[in-house]
Amino acid sequence: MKSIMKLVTADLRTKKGAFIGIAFLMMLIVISFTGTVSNNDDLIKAVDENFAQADCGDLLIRLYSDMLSDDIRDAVNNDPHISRARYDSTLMIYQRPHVNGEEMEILLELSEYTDNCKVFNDDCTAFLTGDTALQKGEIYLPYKLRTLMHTGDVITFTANDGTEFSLTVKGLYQDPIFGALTVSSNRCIISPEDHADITEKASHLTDRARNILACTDINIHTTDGHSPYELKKELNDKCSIIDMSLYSPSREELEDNIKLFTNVGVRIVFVYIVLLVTVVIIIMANSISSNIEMEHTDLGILRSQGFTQMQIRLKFVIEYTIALAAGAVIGLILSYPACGALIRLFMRLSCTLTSTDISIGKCAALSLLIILICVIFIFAATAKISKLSPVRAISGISEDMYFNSRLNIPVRKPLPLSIALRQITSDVKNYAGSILMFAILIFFLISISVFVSSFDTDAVYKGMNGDIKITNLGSLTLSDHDSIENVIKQKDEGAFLSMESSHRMNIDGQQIMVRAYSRDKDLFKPTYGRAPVYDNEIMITNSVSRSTGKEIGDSIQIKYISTTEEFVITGYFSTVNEYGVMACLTADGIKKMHYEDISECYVTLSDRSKANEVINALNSSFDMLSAERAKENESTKKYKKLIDGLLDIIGYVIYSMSVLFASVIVVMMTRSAFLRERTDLGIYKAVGMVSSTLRTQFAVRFLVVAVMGSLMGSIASAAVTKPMLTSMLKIAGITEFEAASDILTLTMPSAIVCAGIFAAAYLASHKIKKIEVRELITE
Amino acid sequence: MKNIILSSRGLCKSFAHNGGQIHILTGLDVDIYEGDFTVIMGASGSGKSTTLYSLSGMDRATGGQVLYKGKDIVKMSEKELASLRHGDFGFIFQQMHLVSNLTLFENITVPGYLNKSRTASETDKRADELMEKMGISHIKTHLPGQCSGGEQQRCAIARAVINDPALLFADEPTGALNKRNTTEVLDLMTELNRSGQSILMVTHDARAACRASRILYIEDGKMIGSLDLPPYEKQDEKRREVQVNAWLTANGF
Ligand SMILES: Nc1ncnc2c1ncn2[C@@H]1O[C@H](COP(=O)(O)OP(=O)(O)OP(=O)(O)O)[C@@H](O)[C@H]1O
Ligand SMILES: [Mg+2]
Repeated sequence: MKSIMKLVTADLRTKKGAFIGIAFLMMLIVISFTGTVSNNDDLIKAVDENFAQADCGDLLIRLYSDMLSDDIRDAVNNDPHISRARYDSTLMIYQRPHVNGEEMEILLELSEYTDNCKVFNDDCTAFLTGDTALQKGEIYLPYKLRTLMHTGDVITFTANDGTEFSLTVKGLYQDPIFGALTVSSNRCIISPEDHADITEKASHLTDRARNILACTDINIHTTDGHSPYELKKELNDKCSIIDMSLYSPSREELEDNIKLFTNVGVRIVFVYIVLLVTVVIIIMANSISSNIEMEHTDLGILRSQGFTQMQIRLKFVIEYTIALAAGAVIGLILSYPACGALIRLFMRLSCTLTSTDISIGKCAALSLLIILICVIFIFAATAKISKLSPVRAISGISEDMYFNSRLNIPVRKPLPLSIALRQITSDVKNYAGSILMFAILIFFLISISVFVSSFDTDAVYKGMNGDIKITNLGSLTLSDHDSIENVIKQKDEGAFLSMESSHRMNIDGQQIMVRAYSRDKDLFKPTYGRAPVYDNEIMITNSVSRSTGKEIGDSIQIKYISTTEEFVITGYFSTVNEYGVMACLTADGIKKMHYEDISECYVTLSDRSKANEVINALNSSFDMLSAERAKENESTKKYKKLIDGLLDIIGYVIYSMSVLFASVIVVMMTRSAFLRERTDLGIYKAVGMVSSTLRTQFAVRFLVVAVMGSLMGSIASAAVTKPMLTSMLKIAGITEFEAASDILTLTMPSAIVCAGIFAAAYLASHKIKKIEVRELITE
Repeated sequence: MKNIILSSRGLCKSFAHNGGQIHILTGLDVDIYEGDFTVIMGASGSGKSTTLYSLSGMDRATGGQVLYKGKDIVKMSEKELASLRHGDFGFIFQQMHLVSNLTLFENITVPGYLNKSRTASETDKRADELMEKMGISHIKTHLPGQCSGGEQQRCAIARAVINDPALLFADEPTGALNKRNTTEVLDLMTELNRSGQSILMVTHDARAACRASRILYIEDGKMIGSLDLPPYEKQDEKRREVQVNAWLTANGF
């Protein structure tokens, strides 16, 4: 053993390059998973704590306060499966607020200040500890609104009777339950005095116009082990509470909303790690086999000195394990700053302040597991040693490094290209591994590009738009469609009107958002089957199909207040709205449910110069609505920008990691090729080749390998990317992908990596310049 | 009167070693004539190889001049040296140094393709002729590892002359060969010289030196003597050997 360690230390000293490369790759792997796993763990911990502190129940039911009857209270209070229920009041402002006098396209909810409220310090890195209570006229905003408003801004809105309320932003607080960017509600905190004042001026469901509505959040704690989903069904049977509710998420669902993005991140990184570990194993196998080839004399001598085959194999295992372990340790250490950065990034989405602790035990165990897997492969890769004959080695007969392959490509002009091809064809085994490595990297990069591009935020925040926006929708219904459109068409023949109607309805016992559009083209695009055409047809998302067990062709029941209708499923569609739980009906279909309120309404013109004429005609013909030029929705634009930015960052990080990974591989491969071909390079120089030709030859070789890898990777991703991403992103509600049809998505990663590899190989081969012909002579 | 093809003045070569300098050549003056078969002899370690590499531009001298066609090789750029190597000079190594994954044919043609004055097919034709002449055309597609030492060295000679060099350098081309192969290689070189090829060869072997038309003797990096001989003829080999050996002994060989 001692003698083996001597050999190991000697090797570690003389063959530093390869080991540094391996350690570096291992380090990248460890940083990636430690950052992600810790980020996820920290968030889970924070969410658990926050939910406990906020005393969040197992089931949350939001009702308009007007609907909270004594029957319902009795049913809730006397249910044997409910251990405790808390009633909180929330005000929903159904009117766009003005911020410093400008209308802002968001909707706010207002809750009363309690001692649980955690207020952020100025840079949102900690919570204030002193007295954070609000005075009358002050408001705390949730973290997610920080880009839209600032401390000192004045928010105003009016009650139905014209009373104006005005609140001054005092700071940002952490909304533990609805705070995540992925949740659409914006719950703000106001003082109990303001809360009481505004509640007094709130509208009622019976009013025609409803500026402010009071809601009640019922926080229900179930008795031990009782499923909140069961409870929902039971309560609904008793008092229709779920049918009447605005929504009724379980605690689990609420938590998942916050953890959505880190969950997706963990899945992606997991796949990435598996691929990267494969790459590392291939590169180690390559490096070991070239070590054995180059050192076969030395190894033969060792054997003739009485080392057993096992001892020599052990030497390799120890060497590479040391490299991997060193990489893992450095990776774990570097994870501390890396993790902090990642967590800051994810806070923009989760809007939850977490610790930046590293899950050191878990990650160390994971590193160990990876090392163990690698050890098995290293051991397998050294099997060749058993074939080394001491006699042959010492007598200087080389086990031929190159074999006479029939694949050999003749060496002709242009020399750099043909020599490059010859190197590959005369050492196919070695380069096949490299091609596979690049294929894996390219595959992953393409998958990531597809992910980033298919995560089209326009689709995420699919909203209607047009040239003219119609507001004051309170008095409009789907039935007004034709009369309004007639007025428009008198001014602009080709113009048309789009209306959206949406409300939660009970589909097969679940509260699901149902949307309908007055025009087919505004419907979500089916990914399978077709969009509904008749009033008894429905299109659902895959999530709804899964949770209801209903498929295309099946019929499904929808209840809304006192209407119950059957619909036939005609297709599936995909959306991230409502976490992928949504259904689409035709306009006639939703009318059948006795619901025809409008949530959005736009006019699309064929001749934009007619905009003012149309607006005037609309405003003078209908006094209940108001038409204005549409402008881009500022708040969704900001959200979009945020998510786009985040996706871009994730994309860039993975891109640069992969390019870094590929570069390390190229450097390692050029080094080992360089060592093996040292003499040949000297000869080429001796016969009059210039270094740049030889360097080009090196770079071209890796370019060829990279191009072949890209081809393989592209083919693989055409086949596998879609199902792979689908399974990773199911939780985000994205169940179907537009196939990466555009050429750019498929070729950009390859082009970037191939160019990067060519450059890296050219740079890494700078040593060729230093090879003097003299090295041949003194050999 | 013969023309000088290559000459050195005050040629110096030192090696950095253990922090100090080892001076091998310390002001070597030598003239090589066109059409000659010049042989450099000397004791082992006297600096013969060093001289050859410095003269041929394979290694850069540390001082002095090497003049070829009025240009100083010592001051040439990397690029000029490369073109000198494939255009004007040919080189034969003791260890053959063929590229291990190129066939014999390709080993010969690669430097040929570097020569811009010939087309690729002309180079191929020339390589075929040379392989015929060297007696290795039957193993054209073999890799060096599949050939004997003699075959490899004949291939190396063909490679060295593919571009019709003005001067052919050889460092102990027979050092790694057995007797029969040695004779074959020497015959080939003598043949080349007869057809006008200027040759500068380093050797240890008095028998090889007999092929020369001029022998230079080097000791401690300085030329200390030269011997001119009439062109080699097979029949007076014995007599030449006696003459050369006597001269060498006189020089302390
Ligand atoms: N790279 C080097 N570094 C240091 N010393 C060197 C180097 N190359 C050669 N030498 C020394 O220079 C001297 C001359 O070497 P050279 O190879 O020219 O001798 P030689 O006459 O060719 O010998 P031989 O007949 O054995 O080939 C030797 O003493 C050698 O040790
Ligand atoms: Mg020598």
